[in-house]
Amino acid sequence: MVLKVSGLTKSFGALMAVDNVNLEVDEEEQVAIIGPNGAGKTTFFNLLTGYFPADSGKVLFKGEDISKLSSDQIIRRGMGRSFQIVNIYPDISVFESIQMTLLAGKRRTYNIFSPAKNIYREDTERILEAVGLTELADVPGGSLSHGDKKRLEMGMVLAIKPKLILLDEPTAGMAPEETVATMALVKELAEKEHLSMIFTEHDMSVIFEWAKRIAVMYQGRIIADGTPEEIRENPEVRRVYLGEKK
Amino acid sequence: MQKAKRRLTTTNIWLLIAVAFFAIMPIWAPVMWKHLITEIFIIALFAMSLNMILGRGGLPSFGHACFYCIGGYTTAMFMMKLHLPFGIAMIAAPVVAAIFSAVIGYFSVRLTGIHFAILTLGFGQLVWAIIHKWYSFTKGDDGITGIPVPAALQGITAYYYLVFAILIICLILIWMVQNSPFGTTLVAIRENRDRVTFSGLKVWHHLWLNFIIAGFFAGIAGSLLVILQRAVFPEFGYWTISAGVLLMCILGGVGVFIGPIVGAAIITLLEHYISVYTFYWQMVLGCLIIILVIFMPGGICGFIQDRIKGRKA
Repeated sequence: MVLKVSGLTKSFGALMAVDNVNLEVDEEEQVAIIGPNGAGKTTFFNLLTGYFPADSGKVLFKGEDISKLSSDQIIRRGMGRSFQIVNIYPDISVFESIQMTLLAGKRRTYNIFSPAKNIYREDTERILEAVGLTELADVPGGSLSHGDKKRLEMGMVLAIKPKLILLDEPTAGMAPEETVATMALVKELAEKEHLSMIFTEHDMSVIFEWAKRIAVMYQGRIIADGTPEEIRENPEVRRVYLGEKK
Repeated sequence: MQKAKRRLTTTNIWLLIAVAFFAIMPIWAPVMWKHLITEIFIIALFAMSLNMILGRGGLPSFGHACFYCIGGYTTAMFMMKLHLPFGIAMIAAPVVAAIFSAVIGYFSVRLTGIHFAILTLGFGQLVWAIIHKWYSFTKGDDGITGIPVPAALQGITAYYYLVFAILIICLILIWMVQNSPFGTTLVAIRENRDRVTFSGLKVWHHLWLNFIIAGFFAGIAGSLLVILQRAVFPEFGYWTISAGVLLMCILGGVGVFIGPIVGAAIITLLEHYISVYTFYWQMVLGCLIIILVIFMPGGICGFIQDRIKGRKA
């Protein structure tokens, strides 16, 4: 088991953003978390990655309790994360963005005298190829299309060689073709690198097409967890979530 | 790639011309000029050190003069109070400045924007106040004067060359730091702190180290100035000096390596020459700043760089 979350809780004032959440993720397992806006999905990710502390509960990552660690410590233990709102370096080239993340992953960032330019060129090129950005290597991150920015962020997440990746709405704001291509890429990379993955998504078609396991979040709680078929049939899910769509 | 190489060569040629020019200048230049250019070299190094925090780190420090001042006082007191030789007093200056910047930076770099500015301002004023009031130790606002300079450096030409050589070495070191993995990380932090954190790095550790290195170079500059002036006063560390050097960086261009040098040269020359004609030289400076902020937000060097790039594209 890669991740075991038990009783994770966080409130902001009177709002229970994440309410007694339990979740287990196995090696190489891919879990989708769905839920309406404000269900607590992003807060849940923020708690897992130490962005802010939980009120109570425990997070075991590869058997180690990480609930008291800071974000950078958690990332170093092999958890990668992308954000719902794309989170890249706008004025740094695609190549350097990946290269910089590799330097970070390999603890070379306190090196103050050797030139950065030629370090990890091959590794960088390999990652660029994996996410399909080889042609755009010299372009500043901020000038990329929305889909390519998401690819770049994915490349940066991969560059730290994670064991588990958390993708917050990886296809948000994408055109349908882009969505399909991105999900295919995510899937392929996760399988090739033997990654476990949790991703959130609000687009139902994406979820039912790509996820083998779905957890449904509503008002901070996970109200159902199972295969797409089970989720489709679950009466409570139909009531609170799928029902709304009709 | 080809284009980049060619541009690099043109830059290198200009650089060599500049170095050659300043290397032979003392042969024909009058003493006053040599004195003025030496002062500009020192202030340029001071501005370069600030730009490590401002340009690379993206943090507006309003207390950088305090490390300059500490560097100056260290050299002065090592020589006058401890009677140590000039060389040791000079080496001690950046070390002591770096120790102070480690303490001040430890608290400051965790903050950003206006909070960082105010805290560095506060620390800077605190150091100034201590130097100003602690008469028995620092001689307060009398300053320390009559600093003995080794015979070999008493002529301005010899000192000019010493400062010039130290400036070049420091610029090479700063350039190396900026282009190292550490320098790249600083740019990444300036661009997106969260992403750096989520690459597994402690952001403030890097900003702290950068702050210390910047304090180190400011200490060198302070020490050099004290030898040039043979005196040091608490006013070296006053907040207006911090603001002035900040202005030099912005005027020259924080995003270009030599920007702070250009800014330092322009402001020092303005002060020197316009103050001959009018007591209100700062009015001229004020107008210049207004024009700059409106028309050249990237500073003079940023403006020129954009023009060159625009023409090549």
